[in-house]
Amino acid sequence: MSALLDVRGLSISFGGVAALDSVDFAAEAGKITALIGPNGAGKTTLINCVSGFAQPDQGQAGFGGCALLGLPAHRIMGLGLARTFQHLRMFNRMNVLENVMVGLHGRMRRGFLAAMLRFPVLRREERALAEKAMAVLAEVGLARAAGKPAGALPYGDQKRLALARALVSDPKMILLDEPVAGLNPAETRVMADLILKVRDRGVGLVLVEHDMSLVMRVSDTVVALCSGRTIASGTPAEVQRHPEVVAAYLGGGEEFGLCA
Amino acid sequence: MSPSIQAKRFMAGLFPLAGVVALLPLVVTNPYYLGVLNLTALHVLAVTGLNLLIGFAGQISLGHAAFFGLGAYVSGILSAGYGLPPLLSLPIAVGFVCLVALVIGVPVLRLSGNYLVMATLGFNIIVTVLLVQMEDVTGGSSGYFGIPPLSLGGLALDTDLKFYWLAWGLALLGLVPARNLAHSHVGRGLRALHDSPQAALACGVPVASYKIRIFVLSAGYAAVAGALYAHYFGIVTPKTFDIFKSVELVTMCLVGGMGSLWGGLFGAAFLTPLPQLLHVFQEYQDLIFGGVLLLLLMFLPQGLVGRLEESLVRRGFGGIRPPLEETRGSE
Ligand SMILES: Nc1ncnc2c1ncn2[C@@H]1O[C@H](COP(=O)(O)OP(=O)(O)O)[C@@H](O)[C@H]1O
Ligand SMILES: [Mg+2]
Repeated sequence: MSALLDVRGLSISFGGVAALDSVDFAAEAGKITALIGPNGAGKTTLINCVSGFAQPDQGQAGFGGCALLGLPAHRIMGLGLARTFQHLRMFNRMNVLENVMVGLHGRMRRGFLAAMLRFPVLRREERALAEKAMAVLAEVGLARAAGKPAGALPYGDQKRLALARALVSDPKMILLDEPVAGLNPAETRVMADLILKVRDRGVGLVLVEHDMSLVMRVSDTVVALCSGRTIASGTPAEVQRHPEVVAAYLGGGEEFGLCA
Repeated sequence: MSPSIQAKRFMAGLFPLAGVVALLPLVVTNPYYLGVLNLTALHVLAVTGLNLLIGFAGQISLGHAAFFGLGAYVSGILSAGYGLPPLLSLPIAVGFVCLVALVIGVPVLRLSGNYLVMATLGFNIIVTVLLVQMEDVTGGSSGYFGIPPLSLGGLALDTDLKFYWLAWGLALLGLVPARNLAHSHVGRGLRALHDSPQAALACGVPVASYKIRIFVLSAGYAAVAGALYAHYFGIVTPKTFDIFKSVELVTMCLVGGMGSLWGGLFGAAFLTPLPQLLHVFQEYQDLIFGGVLLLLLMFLPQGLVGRLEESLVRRGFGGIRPPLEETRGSE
């Protein structure tokens, strides 16, 4: 059986420089697949290609049997593949609840005309949307901030809001781009628990992270990327022992250094 | 706050306004002032549409005077030149303008960045040049004359007062679908793509298509206003619909406040009479509007009324702007 997210031979270059060079990558439903590698390795680019934000030069990507490449980003989201961003990209002019409600946009079937004429069915849908969004906010511990402008939340809360926005549509898989970057240890623990809780619900997660202790603790599979190529993949323990990965850890620090 | 309460609040704001509109003709009987009020109503209509585009979706157009003008010319020429009843020429003109907006919008709005400002500005200039050059059809720089007034079921709207009821009726009516849209999931999607197009896409908002739709819709509002203008004044000239008119409309929009439909209304109501009433103002109109717009963009992007309204909403008064701090889940 093939994985839920299945990427083969993905290549993309920017201005002649290869950001991804024939990368294979797979992530399964209900599992956490970590994607590690130094800055500039191509992790975000891989997420961008898979979620419709960048068009690769070569390769294939399938999600539950559906070909992803060439689909516009909003359609990919509709297939049940959600994502977050390394940089928050909150809707700062909206309150927290509205931010999460936008996450449900793909569910809405009615367009401009129905909205302008205020079809009664929209009122019911809107109420259901708000309820669902509130439930997810409660789950990530932001229920009390629902009415606040999103931009006014502390950074750590915004990170959880970003997760809530991706989570609210009940996706089959979420691509998390550095969900704990910039968080303190306490906030990191909360986020880790949330991530595990989401996984236990059967949602697949792709976890791009520099925090190696988090990666080793929660991941089922780890894929190491370096200069746009996969250098190792396997269980956390296997990848941690891999010579190329070890070499990349100059001095055995928490984060990746340069790679060969 | 539930949507139905929001709707009630909107109505709570609309009814007093409708009351003022209904009573004003008792006080204002001078036809010149009535004319100014009528022009104000047309500006309200155009600014309402423009506000959806600029204030909600964050896409700035400096070409809406061209849509306004095309609406005016097409409806005017079809009725005066080809004998179509204005009640038929008006919707045809609006449809035509929407089509033109679609043709411009599809290539331009797919690009990211503010290409729209440049493209719409260029479009407006081209339209002005064409209106001047195509003398056989448009009457050239001296304008197109003899446009018949609208008539509804045999009742010709040929006086200032009769037109007043239609213009203000439509101006207020035009606020309702705009407000409905602003408060719906579509309005939320538009505001989302304003803040972050990428995040909006990732949330499933069809960003490109929303931008095109709202552009076409706002052009449609301008076209209705333009066609009404033609049938009211009976004459249209290219100068009336040049880029300075576009600047004027955008300024009305921004004085009122980004993303506030009430604000747009007040912006139009405040800025339309100024050049008509103050002659000093009239001479330097373009300069003043340009300057005001520049200052607003630099120092008060929220707009004057936007500020005021925000504090009103906080104190529990109704607004058309989707509430920032008010929305609560219906627990
Ligand atoms: N849109 C882009 N334009 C030009 N270069 C890019 C673009 N996106 C990524 N890159 C380049 O691709 C490489 C990989 O970047 P990225 O995927 O962001 O790395 P990571 O997320 O692993 O830190 C980097 O060298 C980066 O400069
Ligand atoms: Mg990155």
